[in-house]
Amino acid sequence: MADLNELIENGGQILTFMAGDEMFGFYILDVSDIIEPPEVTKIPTAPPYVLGLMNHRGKAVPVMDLRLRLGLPAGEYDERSCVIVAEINTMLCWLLVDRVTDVENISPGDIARSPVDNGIVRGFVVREGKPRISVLDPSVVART
Amino acid sequence: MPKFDESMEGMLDTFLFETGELLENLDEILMRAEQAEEIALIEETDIAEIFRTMHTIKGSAAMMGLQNMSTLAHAMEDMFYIIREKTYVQTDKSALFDLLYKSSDALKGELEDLTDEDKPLTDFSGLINDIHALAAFFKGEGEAPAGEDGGLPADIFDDNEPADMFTYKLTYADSCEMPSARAIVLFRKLGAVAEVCRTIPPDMDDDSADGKIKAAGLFIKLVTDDRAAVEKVLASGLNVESFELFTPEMLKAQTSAAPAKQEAVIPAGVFLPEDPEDMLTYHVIYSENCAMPSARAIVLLRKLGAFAEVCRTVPADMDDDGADDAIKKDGLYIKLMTDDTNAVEKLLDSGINVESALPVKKPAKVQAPAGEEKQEEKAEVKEEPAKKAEEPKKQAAKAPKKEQSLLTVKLEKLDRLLDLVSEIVITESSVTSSPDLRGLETRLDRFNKSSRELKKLTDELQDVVMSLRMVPVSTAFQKMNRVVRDMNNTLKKNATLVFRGEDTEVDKSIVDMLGDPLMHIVRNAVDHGIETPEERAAAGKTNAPTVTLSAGYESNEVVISCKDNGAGMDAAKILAKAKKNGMLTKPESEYTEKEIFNFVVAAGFSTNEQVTQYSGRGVGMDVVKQNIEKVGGKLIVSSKLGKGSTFTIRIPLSLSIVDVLSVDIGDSSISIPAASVREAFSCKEENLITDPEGHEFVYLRDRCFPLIRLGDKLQLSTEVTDPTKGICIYCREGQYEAVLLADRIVCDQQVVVKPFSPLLDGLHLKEAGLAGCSILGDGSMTIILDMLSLLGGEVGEEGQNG
Repeated sequence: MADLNELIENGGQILTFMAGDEMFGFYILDVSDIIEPPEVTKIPTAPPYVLGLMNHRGKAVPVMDLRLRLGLPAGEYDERSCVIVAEINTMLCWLLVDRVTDVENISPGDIARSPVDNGIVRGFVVREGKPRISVLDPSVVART
Repeated sequence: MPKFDESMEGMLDTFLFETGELLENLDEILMRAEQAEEIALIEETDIAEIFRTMHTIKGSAAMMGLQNMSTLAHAMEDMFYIIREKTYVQTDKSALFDLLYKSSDALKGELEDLTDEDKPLTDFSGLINDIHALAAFFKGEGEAPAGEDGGLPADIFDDNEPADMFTYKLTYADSCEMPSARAIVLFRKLGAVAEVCRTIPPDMDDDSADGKIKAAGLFIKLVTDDRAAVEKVLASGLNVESFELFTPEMLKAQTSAAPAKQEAVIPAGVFLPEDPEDMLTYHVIYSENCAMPSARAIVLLRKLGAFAEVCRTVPADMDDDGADDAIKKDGLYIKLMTDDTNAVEKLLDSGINVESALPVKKPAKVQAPAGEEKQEEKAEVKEEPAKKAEEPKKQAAKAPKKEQSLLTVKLEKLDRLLDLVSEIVITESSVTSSPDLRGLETRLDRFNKSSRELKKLTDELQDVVMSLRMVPVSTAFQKMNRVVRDMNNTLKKNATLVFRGEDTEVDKSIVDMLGDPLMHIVRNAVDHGIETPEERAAAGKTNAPTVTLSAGYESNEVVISCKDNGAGMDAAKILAKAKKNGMLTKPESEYTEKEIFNFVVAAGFSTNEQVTQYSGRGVGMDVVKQNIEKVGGKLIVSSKLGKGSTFTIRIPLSLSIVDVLSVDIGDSSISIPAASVREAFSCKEENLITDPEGHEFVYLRDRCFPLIRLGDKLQLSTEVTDPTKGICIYCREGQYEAVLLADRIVCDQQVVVKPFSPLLDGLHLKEAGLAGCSILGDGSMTIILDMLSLLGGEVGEEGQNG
């Protein structure tokens, strides 16, 4: 897993995406792939944000709905929705998002560390005239 | 100091594995060899195999820097050298095998402790001395150990021998098996150029000649006109490591000032005139028992690279075959340039097997060397070519030619392969049955043919990969030979161990797991089951006391049983004991025989009145049961008083592949492990009972079971809410029983259980009754239930009420 502290201290690239009306980002090194929403197998008794399991090259990988995971209202997904494959310590997790927007270069001056230790959001990118980006920690997002 | 060379850490796994295998193998051969009436009758191939095994262990232990193991293996090798060459005059078979087993166990124990940093290396010197003593005994007492210390025979020089008589001292290579035979050939050749007057030892046909030559060397006294020719003959002698002209002065020098001399002689090439002034020279002496100093030296030099610039070493090339001997003889000289002499010296001192590492000053002025030393030096220089020529031959003879028919592979790699193959199978079916092909049927003849071919191949591939993990149970069985043998020796019960179906192949992980349980069971059988010969005679039993281990398949289970024809168990006695220990949970009269025998494997139960060396504390069988249950197996005990007992282990064929009954609930596919399914039936209206509190029960053959609606329990939406419309499945797992309600049965199939991703640990899926998931042939997935928590979690109390 990529070290988010590195991003906050030295800057780097982030993948930005929309969930609900908000913009979020992952450090680019945390992301291993972006794919179309797959067919999932429901896990009985699991909370709604765990959509289920997906066969990824012989492994059963959990798929989560990022909106619900972040406590945002459920929404309709369309053809622009996609799944971000995040890698956490060699384990994979698929996160369904409304749409992926861009890959942006972030300089250390643009990003502010979140004061919450080990929170789901590790830092905020605030730039004039552009929407705010909350940079997420995938290991916190994916761990139930 | 670390136990083994740090740079060898990467090799540790391989070393542990290989040496472990070799030792297992050794035990097997020892068992076989022990069957021979006497040592002279042991199969030659077995002796050769033992010899080779010890040699390999010696070599690899030395490479790891494990001096103690290496020396012990060496001692065992020496022992078998005597046996192989039949140079013994008297033997003691039982002493020999006891010692061999002890050594083999010691080596095994050491292997186990190796990874434990806290445990120091074991000192095997006691064992080694025992082996040496036995070896001396074998060779006959005439060969007193003192004679082997390299003490020189005193009668080399006769006062009245002619002045033109030369004395040559020959040293044979250690690997030379019969120097006396070589010597005879050499004398014959020498006859052409010289007159051999006398040799020491005098008689080459004497049995002790070999030992003497090896210890002190061979002295040849001869008269000749052509010294060059003689020396040529000597140099060309097979296995001759070195020869030198021996003078009375040298004898004196060797006997009096032998240790002092070693330091004074600095081989040529250590100090060169062009060396810069600030170049340091270190003289490293390796301990004598270090088997491969050159290998150590390479490691040391690599480490030195961090602090210093190593310019040159003497000997120069560590890969050279002669390097070992050169280092052993003169030590290792390292020439280096450094800023940090402290670090270098510390490093040198910490090197494994390094006895001393001293800086050497360049001799300021050439000392006037004593006469003997000069001569010695010359002799050494002279012998160099002879040695060089000899070395490659020696190495070639030493290198063990081992046929490699087995390959060891990491289990993870196999698992990965298995994953990949199942992926291929899934992909294959999704390609050949792709919806895109619909409507093209008439034009797909060749495609269909090829895809059938592909399917055949992938099926075969899957079979082969599955079989890779399978090993015969004999590996676990063989170890029991040792257990029974040892117990026979101490308990004097003469039990024979018989194998049936030891070729049965099971998953490797099962064989690994079986080791401990089998040992406990077999120990129990011999210790508790089999009676002493006197008791057997008193009971009128004429058949030999036998423990039978058998293995086989039974409906997707491996069945391994251990049967003895001993005393059997007394159900009444066990019940009484269980009562005494307060283990009864219901009235005595209600216990069936099977339940009673199950007490035997419960914790804290031992029928043996006395605790013996092998069993009786009542701990073993409980652990056995737990181990077996951990892998989904069962342990069943049955017994007939006076006839014997049988312990049967039943384990699912593969730990990861399970038989399941797949059902549908709404859109979801759920699989119930077939092992816990007892019966599937359609429920009739009149058999459904709902109590006032809302609990639902199903009445089935005079019994009442709680009904678990899987849809409700697993929070899956389904349209089938009427139990009479769905399918009822009566399940039992351990003590829990219930009837599950599902929409419909899809099929029964074998699936590979995949645990849930650790990322989902927070959901406590296991507690919710889910064991994992499985990817089916068509790429879809099914969820596998964990019956124990599904039934037990909810039914626990209700089940007992119902």
